[in-house]
Amino acid sequence: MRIDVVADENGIRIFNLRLALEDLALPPNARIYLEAYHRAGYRRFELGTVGELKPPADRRLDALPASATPLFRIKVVDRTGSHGRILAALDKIRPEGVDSAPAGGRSLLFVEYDDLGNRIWQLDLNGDWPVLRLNQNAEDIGLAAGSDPRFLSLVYPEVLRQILQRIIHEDQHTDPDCDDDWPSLWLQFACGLPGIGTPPPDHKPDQGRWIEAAVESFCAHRDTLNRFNQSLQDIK
Amino acid sequence: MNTETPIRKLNDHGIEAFRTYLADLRRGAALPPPEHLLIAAETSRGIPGGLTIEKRPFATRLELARYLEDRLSAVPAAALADDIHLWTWLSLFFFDQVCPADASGVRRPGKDYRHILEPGYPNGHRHLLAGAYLVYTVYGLGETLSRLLLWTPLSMESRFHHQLAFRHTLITNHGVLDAAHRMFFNPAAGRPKPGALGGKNAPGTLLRFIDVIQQLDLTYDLYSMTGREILRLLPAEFDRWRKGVNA
Repeated sequence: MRIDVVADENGIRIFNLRLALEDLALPPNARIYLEAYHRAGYRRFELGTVGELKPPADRRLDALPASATPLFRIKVVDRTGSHGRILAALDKIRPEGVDSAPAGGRSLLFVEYDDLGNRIWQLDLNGDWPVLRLNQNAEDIGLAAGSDPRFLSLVYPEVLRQILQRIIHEDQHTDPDCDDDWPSLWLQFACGLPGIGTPPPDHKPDQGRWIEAAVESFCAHRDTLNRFNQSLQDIK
Repeated sequence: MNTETPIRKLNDHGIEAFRTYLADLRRGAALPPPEHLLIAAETSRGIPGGLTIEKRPFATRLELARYLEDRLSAVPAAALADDIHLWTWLSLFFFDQVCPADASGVRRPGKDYRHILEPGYPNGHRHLLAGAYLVYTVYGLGETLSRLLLWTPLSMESRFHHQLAFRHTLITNHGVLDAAHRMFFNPAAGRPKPGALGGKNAPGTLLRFIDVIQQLDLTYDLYSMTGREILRLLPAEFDRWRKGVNA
């Protein structure tokens, strides 16, 4: 299955879907629904049946904030009885591509643009997926966030630290393999950094040291200090 | 006589000054709302579109939500939902209603997020003004389904609102909310039926309804069902509410 979020000819965001259910042995008359959501925004689309997939002509995501990357939920439902029974479902599906830019199947951090007042960036961990919010009024902020060594070296280590603190200290989640939700994916990422094993299951000071070690390893792996210094040399 | 006031937004300085005021109130200070923040250029800014608002009284959050939908209709709801600066300006504008002084002049503001919007989970819906707007306009519950959640005065969040709006899968599902409305709301009294809240794990109460719905959601496509159909799925502990409801 693949979902892409793209702009139509009028600039309105729509989704495109590629779906293959042949291997699931589902009844051909079962109905398929796709739900897109982000915070308060929600839209539901009928996609026809397993035997006759019919993506709707109206695939607009206009009930969802334009700056946000929605998540998707798909359900296959048996409607032959008096109540619709769910036969198969998949939730928290991230689009593969957003506005023609490939987001990558395992993107850990969404980027959104918003009016943040005088702040340049903000990490939002209160939604369905971690979001780096960038001030839409900051000049070339998208370019800076994607390639400026100063932004990369100053911001992303702190993003990593805040995310790990949230997962480990607040949510008390230390198992990188327990599911495929974002906390486990971020733990898997951190555990895969050079010299970093799995986080201590308890004892907050040890966990704090593990987080700092992970951030340091992240910086070393990306040669943060040298790249930062080089970027300053370049503008002298 | 009420006068039309151009809607503005607090800037970051204005929000921090308002936050300081809320902290002062919690320390027992008897201070009037800092309304100068609403218009000072150092603490607020205008918005395009010529939107205006009146400082008028509202008996319930439903009345307010209806009014805001009308006044803010020129702006797409999706763009408004997370606008911290706008909603905080509106909170200060209506502060005498969202945080009225008691007989001795004391105001009890509660948590900051009731007045300064913290978008998204877990506190976005708890903003006293934005939470009402979300229910009525963004989630599209409108006149009937909003009544169970927004029957309270502006200064009070009902527990029905808190428990249902807190859960995205419930607040976006009109069938579930219709079932709750049919069971728990008394239209004649304009408020929930006595006993609908009950204690934790008390049979047939709101929290049990939420537990049961979350279990049913794993098996049934509740989004495609009407309130009446959902009522028919509920176990016998809800019979006392279903009596008189044409389910």
